[in-house]
Amino acid sequence: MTALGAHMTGSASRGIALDVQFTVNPSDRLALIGPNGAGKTSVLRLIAGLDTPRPGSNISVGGAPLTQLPAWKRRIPLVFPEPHLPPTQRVGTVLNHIARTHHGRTAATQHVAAILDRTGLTSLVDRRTSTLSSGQATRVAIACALTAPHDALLLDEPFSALDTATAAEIRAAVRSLMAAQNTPLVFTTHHPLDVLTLATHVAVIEEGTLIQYGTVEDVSRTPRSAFAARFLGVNIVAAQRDHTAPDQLVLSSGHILASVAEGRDASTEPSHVWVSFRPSDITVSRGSTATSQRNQWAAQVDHIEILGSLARLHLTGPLPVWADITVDALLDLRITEGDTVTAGLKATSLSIYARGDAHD
Amino acid sequence: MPTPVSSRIGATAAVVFLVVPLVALLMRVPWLRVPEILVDPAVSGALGLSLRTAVVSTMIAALLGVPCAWWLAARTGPLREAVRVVVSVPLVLPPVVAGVALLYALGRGSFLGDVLSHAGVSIAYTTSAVVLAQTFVALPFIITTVDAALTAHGHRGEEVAATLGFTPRRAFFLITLPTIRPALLTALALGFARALGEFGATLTVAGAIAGRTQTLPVAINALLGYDIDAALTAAALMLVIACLILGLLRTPALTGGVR
Repeated sequence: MTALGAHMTGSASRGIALDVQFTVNPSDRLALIGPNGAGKTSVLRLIAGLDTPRPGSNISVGGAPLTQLPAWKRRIPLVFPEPHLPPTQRVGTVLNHIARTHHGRTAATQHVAAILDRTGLTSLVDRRTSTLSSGQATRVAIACALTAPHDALLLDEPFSALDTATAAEIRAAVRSLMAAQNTPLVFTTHHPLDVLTLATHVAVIEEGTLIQYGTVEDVSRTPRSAFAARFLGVNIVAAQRDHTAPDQLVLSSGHILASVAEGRDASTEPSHVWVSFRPSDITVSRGSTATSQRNQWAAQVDHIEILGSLARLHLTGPLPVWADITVDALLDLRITEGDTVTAGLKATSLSIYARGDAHD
Repeated sequence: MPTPVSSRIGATAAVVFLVVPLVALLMRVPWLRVPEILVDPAVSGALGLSLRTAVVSTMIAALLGVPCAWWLAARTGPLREAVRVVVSVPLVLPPVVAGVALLYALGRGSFLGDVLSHAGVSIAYTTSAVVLAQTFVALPFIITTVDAALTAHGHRGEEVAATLGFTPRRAFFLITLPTIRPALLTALALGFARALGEFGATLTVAGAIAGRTQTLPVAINALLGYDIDAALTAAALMLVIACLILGLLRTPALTGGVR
């Protein structure tokens, strides 16, 4: 049982300068998230050995360095978003070719039968790969990766080409297959659902740089970039603590948020902070109804999204945030796009933590 | 989608232009004498020699051309472009020029020819020279066809295979070649057809020795001088073989099911 270590510096292919370092333990499933072009796929290609790393980079499995090995000796299969199976061959033949790279004839046949059984693909064994649906092709591509000798598994946006139901089915299959075999999994995704249901850890990569690494719980509770917050459905704003008034948080817009000082010594608290809160922590009302809340401001409703029984209001104003209210509340308050509303936020619902760049 | 009148007129004119000479040839074939001519050693021998040499040439061209195409498709940069130009030159060269070039490369008095003759090997005016000339003209077809297919296919399949533990060679034979099979078979068929039809270079470098270097196209040229019926029959035979090869290229096995 081996951990996957990855440390990448210098420019990768496509001109992205990388500065990424993480370790994935055997039972960990790491999601790489980041905007398009951030370097997520470059990281996977470097781990797999498909691109040449710069000096100073280091890839290892179980402590053994892999950086100098060609891809075919690394034992780290990479599944691409499009499966790229040889079109004229049968599923059984493809898997058998893979098994024969490291097994004798009889052992290979038994190995393939076992993989087909585990992945539930036995019925597809005689199908030509060109006749498979996209969901079946993805399953076969994953089965290929499991058939190959592997110390870790890499999936590049594995579910992006699939419809929602098929993606859910294959995500569940991957989760149970990975749980059964205790090898590190690293995957890239653009879907929060993949992170919340499949990953144990998240790495946030922006412009080639690792911004944040942590468990899914940590990153979704205390995201350290606007991208990560938006991705995981959390509001964050950068603020500066006013040391003369420890419960005052000054935003870059000049707006002041009141927090709970909790009797701590303000001088030892970090001065540059992130403030995060859930969209459901925002209250929305009409007019300036006086309440006990200290944080109240006038906000404009830019647009509205419907998420099941919730309405997500995209608010602009001194504090650009998402506010989730029930559809019933939306109807009661007769809110439409372009309206001005009163937004409120309880001081107790704020999470306040040091802002990364200052590390204070 | 309806096509404009001008395109229909153009298409009709092109087809008429190409088909009329072939029909004129077929109309002049002495059908009653065909069986007798086909068993005549001058024709049957030439046909046999043509088929044997073209098969060997195609095999040699494939053995040289497929690795060359593999190299071309894997490389980038000015050297690749230069090699692409060089290997395409025989496509546009008059075959007689190719023959002269081969003669000066391998005939008596040339460096290679002298080396070979010291070793007791003489190539000019032998069956080997026929194979040489045919390989020379067939090779560019195989290289360019396979190169185009490999380039269009990209390297993703080979990358997937590499992460699954395939050595580059194993990935090429088990993943890439099966993937480009339709293009590979097209390349072989085109190369074979070109080798079979080779005339100018063969005549220059190998001559027209019956049974040894007189292939069917060379024999047609000779027969035109004294037995026009036999020449027409042999010409029609070449036409039939060409149609068979091109027809084969349109079958689903070769087009990969795409028409």
